[in-house]
Amino acid sequence: MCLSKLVHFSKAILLLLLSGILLPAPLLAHGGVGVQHLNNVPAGPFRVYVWSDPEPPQVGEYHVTVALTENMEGDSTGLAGGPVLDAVVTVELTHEESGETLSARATHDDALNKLFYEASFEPARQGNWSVRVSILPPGCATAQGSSEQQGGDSGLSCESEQVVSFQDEILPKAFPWRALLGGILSILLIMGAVVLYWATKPPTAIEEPAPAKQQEPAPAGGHS
Amino acid sequence: MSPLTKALLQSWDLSPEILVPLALLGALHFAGWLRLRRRSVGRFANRWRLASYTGGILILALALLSPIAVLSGQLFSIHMVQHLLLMMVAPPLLLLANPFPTFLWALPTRMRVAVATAFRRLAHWLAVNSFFGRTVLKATSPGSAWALYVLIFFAWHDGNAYSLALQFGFLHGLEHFTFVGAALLFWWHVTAAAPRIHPKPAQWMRVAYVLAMIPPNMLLGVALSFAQTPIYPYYESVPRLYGLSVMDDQVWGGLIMWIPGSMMYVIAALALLARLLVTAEHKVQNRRPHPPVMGLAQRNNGGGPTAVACG
Repeated sequence: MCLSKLVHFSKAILLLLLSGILLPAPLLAHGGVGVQHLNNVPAGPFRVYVWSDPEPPQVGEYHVTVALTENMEGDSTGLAGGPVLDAVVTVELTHEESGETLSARATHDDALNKLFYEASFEPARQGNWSVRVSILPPGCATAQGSSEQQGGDSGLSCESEQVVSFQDEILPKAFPWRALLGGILSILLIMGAVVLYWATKPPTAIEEPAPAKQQEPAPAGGHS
Repeated sequence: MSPLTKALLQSWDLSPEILVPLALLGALHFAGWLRLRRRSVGRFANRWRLASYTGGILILALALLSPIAVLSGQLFSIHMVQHLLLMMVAPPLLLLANPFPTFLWALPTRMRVAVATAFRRLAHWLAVNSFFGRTVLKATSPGSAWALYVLIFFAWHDGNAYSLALQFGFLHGLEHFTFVGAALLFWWHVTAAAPRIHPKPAQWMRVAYVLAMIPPNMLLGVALSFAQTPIYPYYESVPRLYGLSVMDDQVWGGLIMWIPGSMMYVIAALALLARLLVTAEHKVQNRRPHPPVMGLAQRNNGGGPTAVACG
């Protein structure tokens, strides 16, 4: 009897949690592009935008997102050029103290926004890292050996590699405050529901009305 | 198709934390709908309700998973389309289906009875004149729901709050959560979906309530469209698309909020008015006297036409 009540109570809590999570979860899940390090920086034939995620950067996870646009002549704002989608973008991370280097090709496949390029790293050391983004014109992926080769339809030489860089500090892995907060909120939700359940319980059980006594049919001829 | 358009159309954010809950919400509702349909011979679970709820879930998916979600960080006008879907399209569609009883029917019998009993108790407790009950009823009343909806709508479109939300994913999620939460509360009173803890407002009151949302919506749309400087500097730090400048994009965003946004409320008001007229017609028909029987012209029928009088 007691066990069945416990199972029933657990099921109710599970249901409560499920209903509390189902709609908020998709609404709260939203990935941002991160913190911007370079904004509309001219680099030869390109203009470069670079972001890193997460903020603050932590040991074990570091994403670099790059966007490229054409650098148009005579465009003072730098906003007139369209996106460059087929460049070869490589990101290199160098730990300043130890000299450890991590390198990865930034691709559209890893990025949510397919106009951007993204590279992911798992840096194991905290401290200052130098982030170097090198960009080769479109069509230079297989032509790096022969520097004379032209870069596909772009007409740019594969020698004209453009490099932009910035520094970022990677912090030790932080305490999962968000998960803790979520856990505390869930517990408060359950406690609130339990308190509400008991508070709204009627003081006395509602009694089922007694079934009305069926009158016996009057005898033929009626009562005297 | 140009490479740019192709890349844009491929930008889907198919995160499991969005996809799985939406699929679960849809599946639970469908299970309840099927069971309720078998029990009520389609009276409470008709195809319109299923279509409305499924439409609401699909609109949520479109706003949160499709290129609309991904590009909202690059184009303000697309972001306004996303807000419009989250506040003015998905919530009324979800609530028009009256999903609460349907969800109850998705549960096993004992649990359904327990949840229904708990809600009945809660309703009974709120009806008792206690401080907490009064506060809850006031906080969720139509007036409060309208004020909260307007407040959240304006607060998140403030330049600083908006930029912060675009910069930090968690804040952006919170923005969407409060948008949909406030919108559900607002449309709850319009659709009169269950569970109801307030007296059902008169139909004409509901029309006025929906129309009262048009002025704030227009105000924001007009302010965005006619601003002389960029209100959201964040968009100056991302690459522009299709040669659309930050200011042109802002004007388009304001127009989307102003015209299609206001149209949503007008459509809802017209639908409510149509229902009001149908109800009124039904009432008139019910009051009409019974058709007289031939040859009984002298019988008192309350002043109604008779066979003789009709010729």
